[in-house]
Amino acid sequence: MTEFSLLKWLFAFSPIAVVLVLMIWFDWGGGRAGAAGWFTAVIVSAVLFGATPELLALAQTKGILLSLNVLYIIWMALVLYNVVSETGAIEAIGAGIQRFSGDKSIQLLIFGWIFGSFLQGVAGYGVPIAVVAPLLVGLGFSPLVAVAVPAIGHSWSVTFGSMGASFQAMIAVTGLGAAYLAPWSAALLGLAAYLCGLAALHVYGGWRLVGHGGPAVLAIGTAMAGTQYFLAVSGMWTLGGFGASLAGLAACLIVARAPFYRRQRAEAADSRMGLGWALSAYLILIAVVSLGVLCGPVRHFLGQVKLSLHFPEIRSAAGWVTPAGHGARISVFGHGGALLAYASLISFLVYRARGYYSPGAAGRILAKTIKSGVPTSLGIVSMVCFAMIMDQCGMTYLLAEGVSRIFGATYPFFAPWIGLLGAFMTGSNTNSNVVFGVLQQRTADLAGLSAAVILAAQTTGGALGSMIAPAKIIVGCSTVGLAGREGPVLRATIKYGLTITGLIGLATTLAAILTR
Amino acid sequence: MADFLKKHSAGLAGLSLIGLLAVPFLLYAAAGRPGLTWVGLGLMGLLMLLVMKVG
Repeated sequence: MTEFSLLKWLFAFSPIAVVLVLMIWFDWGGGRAGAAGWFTAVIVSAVLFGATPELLALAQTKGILLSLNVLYIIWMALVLYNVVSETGAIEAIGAGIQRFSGDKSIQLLIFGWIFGSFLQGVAGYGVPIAVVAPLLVGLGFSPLVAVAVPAIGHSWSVTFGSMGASFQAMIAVTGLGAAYLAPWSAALLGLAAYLCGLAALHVYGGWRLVGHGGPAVLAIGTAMAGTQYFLAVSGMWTLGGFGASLAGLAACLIVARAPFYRRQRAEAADSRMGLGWALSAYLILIAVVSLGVLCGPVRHFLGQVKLSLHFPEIRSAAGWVTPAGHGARISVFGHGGALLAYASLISFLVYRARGYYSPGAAGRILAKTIKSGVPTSLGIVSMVCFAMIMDQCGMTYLLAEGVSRIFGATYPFFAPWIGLLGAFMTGSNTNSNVVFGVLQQRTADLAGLSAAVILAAQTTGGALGSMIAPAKIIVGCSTVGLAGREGPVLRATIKYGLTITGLIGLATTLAAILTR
Repeated sequence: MADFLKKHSAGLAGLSLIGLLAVPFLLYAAAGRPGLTWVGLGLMGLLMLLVMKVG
């Protein structure tokens, strides 16, 4: 068993500290910093925590199985996004949205909050900021506002966006079921949805615009948070962010027609593709996922082939025991990633039959997918591998014990801050959940708190971290001519990130009291 | 060496990802054989070094 001491706790924290320092102060990417964290974890675990070669070897295999579970979704989400993007459909969707309203608050909400969340739902990985920021500049907003608004607006949808990759990562590392984790996660992220909408308005027009757009945020936020909650608790969490944003768009159609928001005329924007065809790939996705998740015989048929490995009991030289058991199971044909692949293929064939592709489109789709997917994957693999080493030799448990001792009864308030820190340092809600998910789970267990509530706070904090993650801000700034001037944008988003996380901390404290 | 790594960074990043996905399965197959386990862990280390250079 690992005995607690402050020095040992600091060593257990050292791999995470190395990643933090390299990413924040030395501007390293997730892959490079994760690899440095891996070396630190190997050395510290072998020298101080009794990690044997066999333990390290099996931790790597477990880590790769976890990584594959997440990478399957990430790669297929990128394929679908590029299949759609190659046709010009993203621009068509943006043009279609622009016709809704001439009201600045509605425009900000549509693009920065709803459309950004929609893009997070179907793609993620910085795409919402990169796509929305230039569209807002085109509508006359300053570059700083154009980057800050989608950065803040989309962040609530990150956990259940990207086909639920971040939520999948939390399930994978904690070993807890989606049905147990989903309700509280959807509830806290739903609360964050309202707060992000209000913050997006405040960035541009202060409290005056919040007062003007507040009723719209209330109505649209209820549609989005409610839809996300319904999809998450009914097993369709892969569609949580995507479905919520579609519900938000529908609600916005109604809200934008209210006389209060129709005082300024909307300008028509041209596009070679109609909104219906532009959205057809996502309608196909809804049909495929609904069939694969809700239709019992189809789900059973697709779920027959599973990739899994059995691991023996692992005992470190220091006496930490990990029981024997199966690693992460990957349903090869029924996984969320597989459903995305089917939707991508059908969409590609439909768009090709309609003549929306120029010659060589398949090659460009593949090249763009690989270009975005490889760096993201390296970050995830290296971080999951070092997180598994920490877990398998008791380092994560020791960290959790220390956090539990330091924060005591106030721990629930700080749970989302840990998630926020993870996303800030890694630029990813998924990585934050991988690095801190087990730590939060163990801390909750030690403190006698509901793991579902604490992990919901972890992933909500991780999602909110997207608005302050340098990696994502850099992507947005590069699309509106602010490259190298990320500081002012970060200063604009960080106060909203900290305020919303504090409010989520209070909500977590209340939830922890209610579930004790 | 530095020029080579810079020129081929994208390809090397892809290769290191494939290696990182494959080597842990070799480590699993090598369980109980200490010599092979050390070789596998050494390979993981080399791949992580490569990621630190090109990732």
